[in-house]
Order: sequence, then C-alpha cells, then structure tokens
Amino acid sequence: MDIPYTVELRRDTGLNNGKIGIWLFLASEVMLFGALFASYILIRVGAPSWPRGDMFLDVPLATLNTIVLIASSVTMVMAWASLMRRRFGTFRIYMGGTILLGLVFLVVKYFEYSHHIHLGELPGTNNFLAIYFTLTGLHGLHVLGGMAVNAYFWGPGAKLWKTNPAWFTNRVEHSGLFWHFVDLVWIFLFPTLYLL
Amino acid sequence: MSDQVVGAPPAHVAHGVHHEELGFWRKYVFSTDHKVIGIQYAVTGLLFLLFGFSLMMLMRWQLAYPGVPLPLIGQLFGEARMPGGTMLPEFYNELGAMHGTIMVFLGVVPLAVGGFGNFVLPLQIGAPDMAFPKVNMASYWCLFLGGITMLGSFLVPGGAAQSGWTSYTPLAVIAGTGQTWWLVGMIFLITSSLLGAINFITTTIQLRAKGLTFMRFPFFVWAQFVTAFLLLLAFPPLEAAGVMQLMDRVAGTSFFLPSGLVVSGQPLTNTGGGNPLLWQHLFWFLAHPEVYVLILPGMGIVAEVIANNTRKPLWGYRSMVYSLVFLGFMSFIVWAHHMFMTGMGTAMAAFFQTTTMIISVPSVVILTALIISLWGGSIRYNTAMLFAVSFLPMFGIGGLTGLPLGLNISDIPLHDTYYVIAHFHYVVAPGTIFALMAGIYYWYPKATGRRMNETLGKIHWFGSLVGMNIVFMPMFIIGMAGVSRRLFDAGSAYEFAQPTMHWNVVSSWGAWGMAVFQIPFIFNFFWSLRKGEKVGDNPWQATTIEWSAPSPPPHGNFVAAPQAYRGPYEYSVPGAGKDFVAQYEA
Amino acid sequence: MRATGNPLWLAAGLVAVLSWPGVAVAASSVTGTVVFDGKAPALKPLDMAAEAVCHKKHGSKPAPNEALVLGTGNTMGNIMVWVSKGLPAGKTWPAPQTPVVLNQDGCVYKPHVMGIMVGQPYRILNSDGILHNIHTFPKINPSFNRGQPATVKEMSTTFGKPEAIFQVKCDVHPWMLAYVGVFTHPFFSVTGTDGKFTISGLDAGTYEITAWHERLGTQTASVTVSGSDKKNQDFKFALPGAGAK
Repeated sequence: MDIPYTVELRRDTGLNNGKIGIWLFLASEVMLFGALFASYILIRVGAPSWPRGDMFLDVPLATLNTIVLIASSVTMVMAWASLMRRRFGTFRIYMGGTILLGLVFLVVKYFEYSHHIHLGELPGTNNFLAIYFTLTGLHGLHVLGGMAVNAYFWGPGAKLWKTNPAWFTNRVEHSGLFWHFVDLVWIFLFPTLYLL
Repeated sequence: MSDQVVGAPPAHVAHGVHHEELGFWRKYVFSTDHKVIGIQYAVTGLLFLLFGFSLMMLMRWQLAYPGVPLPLIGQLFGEARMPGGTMLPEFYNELGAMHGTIMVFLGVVPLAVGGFGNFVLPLQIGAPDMAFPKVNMASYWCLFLGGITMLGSFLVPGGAAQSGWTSYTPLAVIAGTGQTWWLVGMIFLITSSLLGAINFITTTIQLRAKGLTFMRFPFFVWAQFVTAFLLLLAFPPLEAAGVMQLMDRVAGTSFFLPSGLVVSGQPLTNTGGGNPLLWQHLFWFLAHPEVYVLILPGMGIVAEVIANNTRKPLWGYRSMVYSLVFLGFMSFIVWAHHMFMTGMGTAMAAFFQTTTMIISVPSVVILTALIISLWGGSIRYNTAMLFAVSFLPMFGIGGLTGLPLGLNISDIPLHDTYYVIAHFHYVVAPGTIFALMAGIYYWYPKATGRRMNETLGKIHWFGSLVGMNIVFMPMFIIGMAGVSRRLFDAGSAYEFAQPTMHWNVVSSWGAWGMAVFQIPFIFNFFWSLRKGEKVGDNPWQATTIEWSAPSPPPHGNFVAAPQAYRGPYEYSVPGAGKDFVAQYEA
Repeated sequence: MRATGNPLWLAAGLVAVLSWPGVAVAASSVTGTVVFDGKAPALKPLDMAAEAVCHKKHGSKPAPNEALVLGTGNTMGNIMVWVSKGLPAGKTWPAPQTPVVLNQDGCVYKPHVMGIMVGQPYRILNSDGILHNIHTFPKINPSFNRGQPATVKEMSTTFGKPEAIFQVKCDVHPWMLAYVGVFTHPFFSVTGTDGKFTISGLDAGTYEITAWHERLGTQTASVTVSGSDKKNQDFKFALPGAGAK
C-alpha cells in the first residue's frame, strides 16, 4: 500500500504531504521559540538592570557565525537547485558544504561556550546568561538535528535518488525549509542576545 | 516551480501491489499501520486511565478517613509513604500530582486523540493510512517513553512529582527529584503530541477521499482537525516552559525564582530575578487549549453516535462546525482566567473574563445542537447511545458550573477549592470519558468485527453514571464551603471544614462503587474479542465512510478507494428505500 | 528482632574490645561542667498562639526558649561536648541499636540538642496529635523532610555519614528547633541543666574536646588520659563582647 501525494501534488490543495507537514512543524517551532523570546522579554523587563550583550558575549565571533549560517542557507538552496537540474554530483558538493558550514558554526559555538565556562560564566550566574544558554543551546540542538538530516540525505538517504528522484528532491527541499528556519532563528537570536 | 519535477507520475506505483507478510514485531509492536497504532494508543490510554483511577481511589481513602490506616493493602506502600498504613502528606501529594498528569496527558489524550484519532480519522476520510506512517509510530513510542518515565518517577528517592499537575513555580523548582523526571516525561509527551498533530492535519487535508469536501466531513473529523491545531500550537510553549524549569532545577538558573526566596528559613543561593508567574502564563497557555483537546474529540464522538442512533441528521451541522473552529481559535486567548488570584490587575482580568464569556457561546451552540438533534428522532438506546446521551447533561453541568469560575468576582472565593475539582471533572470525567466509552462501544465492531455485549454494557453505563454523580456532586458542596483542593486531610484540621467532612465519605464510596462497575467493562472488552456477536461491515447502519471498509479493516483499509457523494449524516432521507443513505454510495 | 539483636551486638562489641592488644577495658573518662559567664539575657518564651492544641498544653506557663537553658549557678544545658581529634584512625565503633528519640511534645522538640551515631536509628515521635513536618538541614547527609500527620505516632530514619551539628525544623511550627550531630564514635555528650557532661570509655591518649552551643559557637580543650583516668575539663561560655575570654 502506498500513501498518495508523497510526491505528486494533490490537485485541490496544490501541495504534497511533506510540504504541509514541514510547514506545520515549523509553525510549532515558531511557538516554541516564540515562547522563549516572550519569556526573555518578560524577564528582562522585570529586571532592575540588564547587561548589554557585549559585556559577556563575543560579538565578532557571533558575526562570523551569522555569516557562516547565511552561507550555509545559500549552499542549501544550491543543493536543492542542483537536484532540480538533475545534477547529483553538484548536489553532493553543495550539501557537503552545508553540513560543513553547520559544523563550523557548532565549533565556533563550542569555543564560545568553553570560554564562558572557563571564566565561570554559567547559566546560574545571572538571568542574562541563563536565557543566553537556553536559547543558544536549544538553537544548537536544532542545528545538530538539521545537520543529521542533511547528512542522511548526503549519505545513505541519497539512494532514493536512483529510484525516485522527484521524491528525493522534495525531501531535500523540506529539509532545506527546516534549515532556513534554523538560520532565521539565529538571525533573531544574534541581535537579541549579542547587540541589544 | 517544483511542479515540473514532482508533477511527473510516480515511478514507484507498481511496487505497491504486492504485500509481503510482516513479522510479529513489525506487525503488532513496531507497526506503522494507523489501526495498530490507534489500538496501541487506546490500550495504553485505557491502562493509564485505570492506573490514574487507582491513584485516585487511594486518595479518596485518605480524604474520607483522614489518618486512618488503609486496611489490607496499606502496608504495601512502605514506611516512607504509608507507615503502618497511614498516608503521609508527601505521598498524598505524589498521588495528586500524578493522578492529574496521568489522567490528562497519558489517559484521556492518548485515548481520545491517539486512539480514536488514529483509528477512526483515516477511515472516516477514506484514507489508506496516515500521511506519515513512520512519524505516527514515532509518536506512539514517544508517548510510551514518556509514560515509562512518569511511572519510573515513583521509584526515585523522594518519590514522584508532588507539585500538582500544574507544577507551579517556585514550589516545583525546589521540589524533589521526581519533578525532574516529570519534566523529562512531559517533554516526551509533548513531542509525541506534536508529531501526532502534524500527522492528523496533513492527513485530513491531503488524504481525504475524492468528493469529501470539508463541509462533508463527519463532525468527528472536524473535531480531531481542530484539536490537532490546538496541540500543534499550544504545546510548544509548555515545552519551552519545561525546558526553562529543567534549567532552573538542573543548571541552577532562576527563570521562575524570584529574588530573596527563603525556603524553610534558608535563603536560596540562586541569583533570583525570575518570574514565578511566567510559568503560570506559559503553562495555562497550553493547558487551556488542552481542556479543549480533552473535550473536542469527545464532542466529535458524541455527535457521531447521536446522529447514528437518532437516525436523523445532526441539527445545525454547519453552525456546529463554525462554533468548533471559533472555539479552537478562542481557546488561545482565555488562559489567564486560571490566574485571577495572581494579582495581575483588573484590566487583564476584565479582558480574560470577557473572552471566557465569549468562548462559552460556541460550546453552548454545539451542546444545544446536539440536544436538539435528539428531537423527533427514533432513538436506539444501545450502550453507545446511552453513554452519548448521558454526556450531554454531564457536560452541561460541567460547563455551566464553570461560568462562576470564569468571572473574576465569583472566582475569588471559589478559586482552588473543591468546587473547581467538581467543575472540571464534570467536564472531563462524566463528560469526555463517557464520550470515549460511547466511542469504544460504537467502533469496537469496526476494530474487531464483533460487537460488545449489550447487557454488560448497560450495567457498566448505569453504574458509571450513578457513580460519577455520587463522586462529584458532593464536591460542589465541599467547595462552596471553602475547602481547598490540595489539603491532604480534606481539611480535617480546620474548624470550618468540619460540616462538610461527611460528604467526603459519600464521594469516596461513590468512587469505589464506580470502580466495581468498571469490572463488567473490562471483562466485556476482553470477552467480546473472542465471544462477542459477529457482525458485518456496517452493524449500526451508519452513513460515514469508515463503515464501508471490512471489519476489521485490512492493511490499506479499503478494498477499493472510496468516494464521498454526499454529506455525512443522510439519515431518514424522504423517499429513500432505507432509513440511511451512506456517504460512500453513489 | 531487636530483642535478639542487642545481646548479639553486645557480645560482638565485648569480643572486639577484649581482643584489642594491651588494653583489656578502655576505662578513661572526661567529665566537666559548662557554665555561663556574665549576666544571662532574658529570652522571651515561645509564642504558640497559632497552634491551639499546643498553646493549651502549656497552660499558663508558656514553653521557654531553649536557646539558652541555665541551671543554678548559671550551669548551661544543651551543650554538645565531643571528642573532635585524637581518636585512633581506622578504628570503628559499632552503632548501638537503641534509637535516639526525638519527641514532639507541646510543639517543642525534646531533646533540643542530641548526638547520634552513623547508622543508629533515629526515632521521631509525635505526641501532640497534630500535623508536624520534620525537616533536617544537613550539608552532607540527604535532607529528611516529611510530614507527620496527627495519627502517625512514629517515624524513623538513620544518618549515613558523619556530619557537624545541623538544624532540625518543623515546617508547620516555625518556633520548633532542634540540633543533631552525627558521629562515627560514641564519645559525645549533651549537658543537662546542671551543665555536666561525661565522655567515658576512652583509651589512653591525647584528645581534643569540643564544646558547642547553638548561638555562642565552639570551644576546644586538649585532654590527655591514661589508664583509667577521670579527668575534669570545664568550659565557660559568655556573650560575645561581654569581656570574658
């Protein structure tokens, strides 16, 4: 038995299942990060004083990370576009690039974290660091999750290209949507935590 | 843009023809079939309902006879919980918190949404399976892990969570290890619900049978559809709150801890500066929609059963659907009516009591439509119908007694008393659970090919109906006397609670009596699997699409892809040869 | 169980002591009196108006504040005295099976200060017939925090690790306070109102003896004993800044 509309579009909705699924998932993610941002605002508003981000955080490193993530979004689009042009080899290169850029992001993040821990700046130190570690930690987990999915499509999942290229292209597109979302979250996080 | 590629005909269609036989584990345990998953959900939900009910029966002993050793089994709970059979307050708190958590998140939601949603929804819309079968399986196993975590928390030092099912901060942050397990368990359960919700919505939108437009949906499908949106959008804030409480407990942050907090005379070392009310906002932002998650599937089931057994169309189907959607939307902006006592200010209270009064309108529309649907019907009083009809007044009582709680002024004396317990239990216990029972009796033939025994069913219904009212009606009296809901001894230490103490005895015996009347149900449930009367595909002469599938439906559900030709409830159509015209008949 | 257990332990202890080379019976003891130096401050009695049962129980004579208990001649009660240094390393003493009892009577912990050995049963009695909540505040041992409803007359626990003196509180009645010290050895004593303490059964050697009061801190003294000495070591506490040493 096959599930209809995994690849082909349903005529009256103009969509396939995966596309709806990933957008619904992103909607719930918006609520998750929305709640955390709302909490951030509430706690900051209630605080008698609040440190500027650059008192604790390394703005140049985070700027680098922002550029890295935006670049990874570009390579992600290129990976999908290569599949649309039926160039599997270029897909592998761009997808590999996306994964590597994600890895660069996490390594930079690791140095930031270890620097904080070295200085004794832990989540319990103050509420700014608490929200910083919670938000960036959760975001980091999302990056890791996105990388795992991308790595799957780069590696074992790519077998699907041989049997059903259209489906594979769709899946890469959907994982790309998630990746762009993760990127977008960072673009909100960066000014909120580092600059404001 | 993507049409060029994905528009091409799928190359793999030919693979779908052959069915390889799956092994036992893949077929019944790690199954991706929505019916197996639905039954797994339902059985898990029923077991947890029984477990949560047992916790409650222990509590009822303590409330009826505070401080009296529990005979026979009291010694089994150990010195740390019930020395000499007498319940310690900590154990009572464990029971209270876990009863609430288990009933809501592991009992009713898995049964109503996971069980009925998974089993019935794809069948009713004529789909071969859920849109994402593997995600569906993952959803069940997340629930399973969450359930194991919750059960396991009873065994950790200090016992399970003791801060109520609401886990209010700062109390929950400074509580014992069980609370950490509760949070981890909740994160599993939330993940499960999210995966399920995505699946339900996608399935409903994409896998509808040909001709099944939204306004031809059975009401149950609409109810599940709206419920799925509530789960999808309301749960993530609680997940965020859970992560923050976990950080507070494990990493020493102070999201929910105010400055200068002193616990038992010892100042806390946390930095403080957090906001305990933030937890309540995030929690109720989930938990008010959650109330509708609990009730909407129940309404859907009742609508199906009533339409079928009155042999006439639902009265005001469209207004019911619009009310349902409006209800779903409004449920996101009423949450702070749980927080009138927090001192959030009259402007906020005025806003939330207004929205609360508004949200009662669509609920009343649906309830009224269901009651009017009975008018002039040739009603069949089978067990499913008896449960469905009892749902109406029970939910009515629950709903109407909620109005004083939704108004700021009258909420102040009633807040956190037994009145609140009585109110929401009337909605959820004789409300939702009756609806779920109706659903079990109604769809059992579809799942097994056999009908449950009617005599045992009617005994079960009668005992449950009487029992429920004996349990919960006295709580209104106790609550209006001002007895707080969280007292481990039902207030026996207080002068003002003395005149109502005997009502606790009545309520407790009602609960134990009701437990006895669940035995016929449990027996019936298993006995009918083998010995129940064999029935055909459509034993209730119903109109909706699930009855066109074989009973039990095979993998892939339908022999040929069904098609919808008309609305869902074409009963007693004038001029038709029989008293129903099925949705799937050309 | 307990009836047969006791003689067994005694026998085991006796065998252990007798087989100790060179010493048949460790017989030295240190005694002394603790006195308060200066003019004693008048402490307000405990206000139990919030708990009718206990208020009634004390009648016209309200329960005194036990932070400072003085006998005739300003002898001090509730002083914990123990051997803090000098015990042979590696030697262990079996914990007695007789429990240390903490009684909650009239919303007062009796006794106010107590020592207990690691593993020795700690029995908590509720003689009031109302809800109490026993909450210990140790730093090393796990905290014991449990409600004791009216009908639960008795609970018990043990302490797994030695620990300096910590507080026991009632979460229902904030005036209820007691202090517990957990020791690996039996060489501790709490003074009565007469201010007297006795630490006996010491082997020959030089020991550091510490005396502790809940508000006035600790004092130490060095004592050398041999054979079956009976040494005397008095302690004197004074209010800080009162001019006494």
